Amino acid sequence: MGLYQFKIIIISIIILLLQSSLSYAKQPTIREYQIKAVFLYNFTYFVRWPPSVFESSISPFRICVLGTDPFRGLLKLAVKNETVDAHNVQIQVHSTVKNTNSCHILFISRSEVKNLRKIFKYLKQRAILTVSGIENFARDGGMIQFVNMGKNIRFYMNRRVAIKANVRISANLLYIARKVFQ
Amino acid sequence: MYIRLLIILINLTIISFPSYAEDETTEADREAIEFLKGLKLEELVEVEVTLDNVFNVFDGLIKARKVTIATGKEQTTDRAPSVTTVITAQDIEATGATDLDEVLEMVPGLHVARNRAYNPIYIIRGIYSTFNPQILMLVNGIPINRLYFGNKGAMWAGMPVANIARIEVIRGPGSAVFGANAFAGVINIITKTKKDIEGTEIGTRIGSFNTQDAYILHGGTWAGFDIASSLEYRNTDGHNEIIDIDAQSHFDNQFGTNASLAPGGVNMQKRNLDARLDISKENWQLRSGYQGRRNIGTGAGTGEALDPIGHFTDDRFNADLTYHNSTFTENWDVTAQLSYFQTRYNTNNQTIFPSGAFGGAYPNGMIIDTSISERNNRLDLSGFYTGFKKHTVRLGIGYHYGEMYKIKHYTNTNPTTGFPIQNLMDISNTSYSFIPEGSRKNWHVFLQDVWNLTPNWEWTTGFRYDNYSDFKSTLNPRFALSWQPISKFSTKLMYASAFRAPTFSELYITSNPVHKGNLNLNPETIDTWELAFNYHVRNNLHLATNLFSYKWSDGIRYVPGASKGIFIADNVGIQKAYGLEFEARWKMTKKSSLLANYAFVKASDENNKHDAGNYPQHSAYVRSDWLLMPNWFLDTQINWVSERQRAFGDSRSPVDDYTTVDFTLRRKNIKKGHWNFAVSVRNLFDVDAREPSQGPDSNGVINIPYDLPLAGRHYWLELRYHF
Repeated sequence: MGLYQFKIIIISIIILLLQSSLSYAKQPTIREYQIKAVFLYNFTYFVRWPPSVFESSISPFRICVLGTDPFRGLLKLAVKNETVDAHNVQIQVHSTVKNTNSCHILFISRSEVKNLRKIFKYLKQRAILTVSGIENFARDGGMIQFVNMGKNIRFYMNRRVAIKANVRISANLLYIARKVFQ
Repeated sequence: MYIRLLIILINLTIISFPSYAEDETTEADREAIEFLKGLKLEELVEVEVTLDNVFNVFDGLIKARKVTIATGKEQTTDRAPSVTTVITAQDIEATGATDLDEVLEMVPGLHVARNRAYNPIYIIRGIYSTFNPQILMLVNGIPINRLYFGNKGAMWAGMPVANIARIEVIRGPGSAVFGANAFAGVINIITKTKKDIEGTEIGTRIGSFNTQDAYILHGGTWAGFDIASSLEYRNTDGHNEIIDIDAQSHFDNQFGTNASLAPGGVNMQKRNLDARLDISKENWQLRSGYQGRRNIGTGAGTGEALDPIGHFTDDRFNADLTYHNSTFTENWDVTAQLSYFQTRYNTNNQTIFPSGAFGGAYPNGMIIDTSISERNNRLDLSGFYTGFKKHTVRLGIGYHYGEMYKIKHYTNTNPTTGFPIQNLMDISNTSYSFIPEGSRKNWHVFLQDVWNLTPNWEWTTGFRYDNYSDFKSTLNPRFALSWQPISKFSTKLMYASAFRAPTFSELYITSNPVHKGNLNLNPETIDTWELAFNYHVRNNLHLATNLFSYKWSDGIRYVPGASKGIFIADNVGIQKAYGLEFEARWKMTKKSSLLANYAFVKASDENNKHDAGNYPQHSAYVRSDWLLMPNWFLDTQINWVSERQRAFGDSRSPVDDYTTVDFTLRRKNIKKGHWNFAVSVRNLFDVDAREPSQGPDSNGVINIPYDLPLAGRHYWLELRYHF
């Protein structure tokens, strides 16, 4: 190895080290599905389900994902060591809506966009809080729709659908929603 | 507590077989979620987020990487029964690679050298040859190796990267799954589908050497079909680094002439167009593509004499219809694939020796023009069977018909007298033509079993039998034992044999005055042992290393024949080698990551008890990515190539080591309607990097003694827009 080459290697290593020592962060960088996972859990504070949806006082509270799971473990992190009214929280991923009867919150993945009509039909009047990022979800029959507004994640809600399904949504949540379909 | 657990467990088993998402979260995810959970709902809606699938190279680097190339089934690189590397579109974008060759240089133990035409030679673990047929090249799992030289084409002229979703590389043998030429390694290029593109992306780039690139990608649905389409264009003059002495310089010395164009620049121009279309619906997928290459420069010259006049064209057309059903029956996951691949190359005024050569006997230079068409039809059926407890069985059967046709040969040397003639003479379809037409039929059958002995131990057995119409049939086994005692650590011990089919040029070339083909050739074979370790030290630090040794037998070499000055192809070469590869992936902070790999190999030419030569004994690659400011990324690459000995009979001193450094700065916001802007400098320190030229010819002359120079410092500037 010549002196010139040696110099290049040394300079390059210095550049690399500079890069790593300069990079620090005060606040974590927040990614879309990290915050969506936390939202899903936080909704439990603002929503009341009929008592009949729990098999017993110790049966789990279930947050389910229908279709391709965009959270990849983030939901599990968000509910770690958490309970909902003393029910343990469980995360499930399902490929068909027919298996979601025991869910309390159902996040419908973008992969299900084509099946949405069928899903709404099946879920009609079941006490499951439906959430999705699919466009026009709240308008067309879903309960909560995530909306990306610039760098923020906001949501739309459909109160009518929730009432029909016997899912009670607190006024505080409705207040924060960007749009509420009555 | 236990009762509660029990009830949860019972619930788990009763309710409808839910599937559990694999945990791919990182320390950064944990921190972010902790932070977010401390906020009130009204604060949450005000948090600024970086949208997912953003250019997050830092997490991307250390997330579990999955391959399908090892067995046909998706599995993590840790457990796959081969040593594999996965390169994603994100890696390609981050490093600023604009051609496949630049991408592959980041694979541990893979080095890209050049032959006289400046075609890339992908050297894996010291396996070097001018035409490089020891690497199997696949696009979406379908071979693109040609019959004539057994490689990806003598007029390759590069491959653009905008439409590449991922590249899976096996370093080592793969014949038990893929058959012929999966010898030193397998490179599978997977193109983007609808979901990789989602919308329309346009990009344009300008760079040094008068380079202009443009591309458009589109992914969407149309009449119920998922559509992905791409169009990529490149026009470049290429670098023109100087060759000081070429083959004609030696003749000039001998004849007292002054015909050589050396010292002069190499000819690296090209104009490329790549178009691909991918249509799928449910279980069916129809893919087709066209790759056109025009005005391809001759590199350092076909006769190792600089040739600025000659240029090449190459056309490729591919199509496949694939049916895949993962739930064909309860226990069967089946795939059926029909594919077609057609190629044609032409040389135009390919000047072997320049005007004035041989004392002015050739006023226009000595010209030989050739052309070959090839077509390949393949039918492959395979399936996974999961009906046996603890076993996953894969079996498959396939047929390949390959044909080399429409062979053209023009020359301005009278083939009977050997004297120059005024005009080009068509000697196609005569006994003087350089190679006759030919065809090859191959059918194969394979069987593979993955046996989960215990949750920690896995035993893989595989066999593939290949029957050929033009040489001896071959059976290639492989065995792998993998052990994962804890989730952080895994190790695997592997043995495999592989083969490389004799090429049509090695079998059938008859009219070449020096090199003759041999109809009795056998395939080259290789036996490889590998021991690999993967260790996830922490969530943000992964280490991998492997040791290997192989014996390459029946290497096809040209050996002196019965009459003087004639060389005949024969299975005589033996090469042995051992070495190791080491790789570290480290997410240093939330905004920076580091990837480093090092490879060592010692390969020896057993026939001559000499170093095999031309390959780097040591090579290392370091890459860092750094988020400077929101949306601004800086990537640095350092590539070190060292200890390239000469082959037996080549008395030159070893090829000089080199270290190149590249910088790429990118501003990126992946939201729709946002620009993506990048600027890159390659070979920042303008290092004089060279790849070995051919050693002494049959007369003991080294035509290009000072090796083949690579591009000096150069730049490019890129703009992309996604809508």
